[in-house]
Amino acid sequence: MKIKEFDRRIIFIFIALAVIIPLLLPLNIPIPVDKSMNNGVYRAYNLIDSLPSGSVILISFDFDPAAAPELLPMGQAMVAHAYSKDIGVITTALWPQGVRFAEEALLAHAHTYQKERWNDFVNLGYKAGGVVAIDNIVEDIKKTYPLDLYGKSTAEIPVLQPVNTNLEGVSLIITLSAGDPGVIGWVQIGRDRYGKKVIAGCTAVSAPAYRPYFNSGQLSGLLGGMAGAAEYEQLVNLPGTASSGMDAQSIAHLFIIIFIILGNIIYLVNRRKTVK
Amino acid sequence: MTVEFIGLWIAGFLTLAIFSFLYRDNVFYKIAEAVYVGISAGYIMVQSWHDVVIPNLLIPLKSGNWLYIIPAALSLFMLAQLIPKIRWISRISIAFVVGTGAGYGFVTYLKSNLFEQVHSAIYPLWSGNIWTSLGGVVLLIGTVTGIFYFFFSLEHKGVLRIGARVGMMFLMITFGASFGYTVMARISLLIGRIYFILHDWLQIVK
Repeated sequence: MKIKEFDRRIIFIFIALAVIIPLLLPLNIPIPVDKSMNNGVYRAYNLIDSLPSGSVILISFDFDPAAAPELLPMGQAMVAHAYSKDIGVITTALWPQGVRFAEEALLAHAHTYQKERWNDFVNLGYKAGGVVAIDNIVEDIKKTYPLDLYGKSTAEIPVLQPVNTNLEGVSLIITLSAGDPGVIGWVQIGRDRYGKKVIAGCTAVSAPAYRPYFNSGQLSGLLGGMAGAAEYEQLVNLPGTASSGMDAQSIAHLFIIIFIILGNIIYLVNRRKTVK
Repeated sequence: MTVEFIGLWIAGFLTLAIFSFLYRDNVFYKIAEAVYVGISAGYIMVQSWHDVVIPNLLIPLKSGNWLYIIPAALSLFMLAQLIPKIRWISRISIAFVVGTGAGYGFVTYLKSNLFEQVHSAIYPLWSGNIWTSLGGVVLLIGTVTGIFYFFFSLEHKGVLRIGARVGMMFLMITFGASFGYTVMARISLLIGRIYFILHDWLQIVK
């Protein structure tokens, strides 16, 4: 059989079925979570869990719809975790479309935990400028954002009252990032210049590139792709879209592995025939 | 018929139109592609006007801060790209952006990506824990042999050849891990769209 003549649309059909069937008929494949400090997800969970009630964290939604299946579940699970611990949540966005995802994450569990806008959470909206915007946010968040997304003065917002210049009063920065501006900027400015703890949630594509920052301690936690989001959902016991997507993810991976093995076998057989 | 309902059906149709390219190029894909590019450009332009130009330029200018004429002029210079005769003017703005970016980022980039990374790669080979120590040995071998692979000043012969080959194996393992993660990311995108079709649009999945 010649690989070049193989109709790749057959593979597309198999992958489509591998995704659609588990979504229609969930297999409930267990999602094991490595509860060691080498696991970036567990370390992130542990850090948020250890914050005392009344703390404030900043979550930056630095992504667009293309990365939402991976990063939005992380945001929702982390915000819910913060709500459950009575931790105030401030959201920013370095990508214009991140604003609506921040809003979605803030409101997803607000009713369950009886959290109110401005008292318990605030969405500050988008800020252009990449690394320069990060610098301004960390240096003086209220000056950088005189108003929140709904036009309320940041000087009058209760959840921002403990926050001063150099993000004093903010215990943790979390960036949910699909690229630049995002993780690197927050590490360079937030952690390396101002000494703040930074957790990153990133797409699976970029996870290997950020792993060295986690190993060096520049990142205090690292969540990579849908698997990272699903693990966090399991830790906070709030299974969401990431957990339900992991069945499809596992089956699709299985098919891809089978196709890779088949492709290599066909290639080797063809090569042997050519040599003969 | 609500706006959300119409929006949902348009989104559903556009999703299927984009997927139809997997069968072959067709008119539905072309329509969806053109709509996507047009809406993205329009959205970014409006967003930039409201979130960047108005608060960062027009409001300060309106309040009498005339220093903001400089960034306004640099912005207008960029539009000179559209007129071939005066295209050179745009180089002033580009030079300003590149120069500022390089100067601003140099120290922070060096600290975060060189000094911190090198510092974290230097630790005792024996840490008291067998697995941490083994990780340290692997890190040392991987780093040194990886450098060997990219060392082209001498011909890869003898020890250098062995080192370069080991380095290449480390690189291949790294690329394999990256490929695995890339597959996961692409499948996640597919899951996201299929979930939209089954859950939000057709409401088959709860």
